[in-house]
Amino acid sequence: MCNNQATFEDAGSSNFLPCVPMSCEHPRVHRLADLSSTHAPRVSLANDPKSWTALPCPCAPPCACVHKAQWLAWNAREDAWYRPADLKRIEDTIDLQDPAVDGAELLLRCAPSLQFLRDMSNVELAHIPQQGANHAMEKWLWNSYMLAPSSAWSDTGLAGEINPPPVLTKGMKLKIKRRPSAYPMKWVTFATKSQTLPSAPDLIARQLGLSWDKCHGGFVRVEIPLGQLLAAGARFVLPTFFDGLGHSPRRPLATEWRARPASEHRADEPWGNARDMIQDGPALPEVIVDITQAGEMNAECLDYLQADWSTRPYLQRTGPR
Amino acid sequence: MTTPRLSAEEWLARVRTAHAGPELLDWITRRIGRPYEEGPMLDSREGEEPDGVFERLAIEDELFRARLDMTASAYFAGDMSNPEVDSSIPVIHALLGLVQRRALSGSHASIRGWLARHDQFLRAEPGAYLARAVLGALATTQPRGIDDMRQFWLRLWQNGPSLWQPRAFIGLRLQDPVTAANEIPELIRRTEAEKQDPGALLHGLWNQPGGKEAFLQWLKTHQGESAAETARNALQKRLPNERIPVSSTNRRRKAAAPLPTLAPEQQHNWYN
Repeated sequence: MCNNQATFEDAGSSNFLPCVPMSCEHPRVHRLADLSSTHAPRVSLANDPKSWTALPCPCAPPCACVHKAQWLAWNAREDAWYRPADLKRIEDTIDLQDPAVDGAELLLRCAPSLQFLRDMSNVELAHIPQQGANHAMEKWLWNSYMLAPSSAWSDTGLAGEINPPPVLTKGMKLKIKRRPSAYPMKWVTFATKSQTLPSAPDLIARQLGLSWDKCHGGFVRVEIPLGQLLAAGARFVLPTFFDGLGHSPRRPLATEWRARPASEHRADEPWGNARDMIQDGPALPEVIVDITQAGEMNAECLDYLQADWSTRPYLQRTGPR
Repeated sequence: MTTPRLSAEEWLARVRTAHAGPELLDWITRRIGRPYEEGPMLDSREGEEPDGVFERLAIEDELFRARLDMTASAYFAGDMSNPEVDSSIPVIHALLGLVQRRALSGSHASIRGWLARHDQFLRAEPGAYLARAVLGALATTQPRGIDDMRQFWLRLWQNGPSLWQPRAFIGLRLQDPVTAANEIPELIRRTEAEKQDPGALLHGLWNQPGGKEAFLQWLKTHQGESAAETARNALQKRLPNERIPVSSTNRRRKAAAPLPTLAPEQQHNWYN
């Protein structure tokens, strides 16, 4: 079991949910800040987005090296993780450059040599809520769910096509169901200082800063503040956002999402933004995680997946290599 | 006595070097069947499925991809891939998914044979879980420009179970976008009958190589027909940044204003 699941900090103060590494089988990782004391200051100047304006590609013919360098800079800004070998490569490449050059220009010069260190992992992406929600759409949804038979005609294309169309577009409504698997969906178990916490779903909810209720029988109620998610830049709010958090071999629980009963609706809630959920009808602004076996669910795409490739090239799967 | 669990690195190293056929299949079967005990830890935060590790290896290593292709080919040609045996369904589905996503074209013939052998079972399968997976695998691995494949998809599109038809259309458009475009009226008819949006499948056609041209050509030759208008509108909704030409020739042309006469306003006696 990977104990590196997360120690989530309070989501209210930041848009980020940093993960404190504990022990796990993932490769050990470092930050760009862990570059040697001679290299780190030269790189860190690139953290200023302004330093990237109007930097031309020095290659002839022009290549994608500006993009590659921006990718590095993005990772520097966002504290991505690097393997020791990656850091060594960066340091070696920096050593070959003119000592008078630093910041964005240094990274730009390094980029053609470094090419692409590695794709930013989905684990890292999942720590960024607004990207996490978008990412949930792309990755979690089709890994964990499939189109229900009643939505078979919404099958736009196939993963594996040369140029598959985006599966979801704004306003699209789908019926989805869990992919049958050889193993049941399970909850994450948090481990802190070797003590496994049994109340994992509640803990997750609390540490995500979500309001929650005690377990009632087989389910825990977690209210997902749709407005906050959207304000944070989340474009998609789907069942996968929450239940993608993890599995535990001990707690064979699955999730089902539904709208909060209308009888519990509060007067100040922003009606009209929520998805149509299974039992309680449309237009309730918050949803509840119900830890029972999920059946067929409604999902609605609230908006397009929007990414600014110029500043976040790591999201581009076919990006700099 | 239980075998000690291999570390993730050790497990990956062994899988990387496993021979195509039973050895690699054994690793796949064990991983799919016991994902928590076998292989690297599943990263739940990315919704990783047990077969994801083989996909990553196939992306990283072309030789592994070839071995995976051979293994899948042999698996679907043999007796182990019996969909009527419950325990084999996850492995079948995982391998079909890998074949589809990595376009393992060496497996195409054996998968098509597998579909033919189990046609009856698959047609009766509720939800068409395996059937949709096998059609997806055939769609991305098929050679292009093969009339036999075109006929195969057309037969499924015309006579296959209704849950197979969307995948049959995808297979047909990947095989021959022009033929698929000619089926748009039938697509419109079926989606209207099912109260579904035809835009999704049309969007796929539009995005694929040669698909946009095929769609526009079809639109041009069917100007004014209601199916053309429905198809255009459905697609336009999904492409807000594109301008799909309106089929408008059926609209009555506004009568052109008469040319100004050159005759003098007053009769003129040329002879005076």
